[in-house]
Amino acid sequence: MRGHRYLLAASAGYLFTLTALKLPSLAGSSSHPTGVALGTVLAGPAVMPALSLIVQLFQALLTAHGGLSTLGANVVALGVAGPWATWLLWRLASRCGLGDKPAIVLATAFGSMATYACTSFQLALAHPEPGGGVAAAFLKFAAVFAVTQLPIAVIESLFTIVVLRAIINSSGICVAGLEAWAQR
Amino acid sequence: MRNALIGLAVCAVIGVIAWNLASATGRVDADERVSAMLPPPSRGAIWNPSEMFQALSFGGQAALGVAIFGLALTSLRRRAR
Repeated sequence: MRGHRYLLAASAGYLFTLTALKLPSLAGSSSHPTGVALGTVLAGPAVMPALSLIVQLFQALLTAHGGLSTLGANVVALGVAGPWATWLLWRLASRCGLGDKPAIVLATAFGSMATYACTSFQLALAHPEPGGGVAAAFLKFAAVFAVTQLPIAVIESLFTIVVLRAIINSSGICVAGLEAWAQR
Repeated sequence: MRNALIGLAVCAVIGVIAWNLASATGRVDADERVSAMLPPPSRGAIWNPSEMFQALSFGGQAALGVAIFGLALTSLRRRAR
């Protein structure tokens, strides 16, 4: 039980670190990795809203990133949409026979993109296009995020594997869904 | 474990440098780019810190994250022994 607490703390530290890294990307934009995949794999998607709330409250109050009035929407995107998308694709890919590492790489990148897809949808709901409605607004916002986020999502997915491997190898903890990896 | 810690610490440093690089090269944060597409809010922001303050505070957040991660990993490793 205590080991789980430390895994949660490691996931929180990882989330804190990665969401603070604003990296230059394509099309003259910059963005940050989401960092939700590690916690999702180690502790499950159900705990991610709590971790995401802590991180985003910290950012809203101390770094002027995000904000208190948009905290709920941001928690849904980072703490619910991203982790569940990651978890679902990871489990699906594993069941389809994809190896542990490729499944997690794929799921991490997908979760990162899903976070921003959710944000785009929230923005589209709040600000629909006068002509095209919610769908047109979603495409407009998603186009901006997609170009910037895709390279960062790929880098994040590879980095997550490195960190996950280090945690499993050094702690000897058996993670649900990664039993085969731990035994190797 | 040491490699993961070093990797995260290097990331934190790269993050702070990248933030300043992104600002210096005129790269706009994707969130800000999207915000610019929205109609102006009815009320202005109550707090608008400088780029340098944001770079430092995000660096602080990254450092805090590395510290939490390091402590957790050290405890996990101690338990494994």
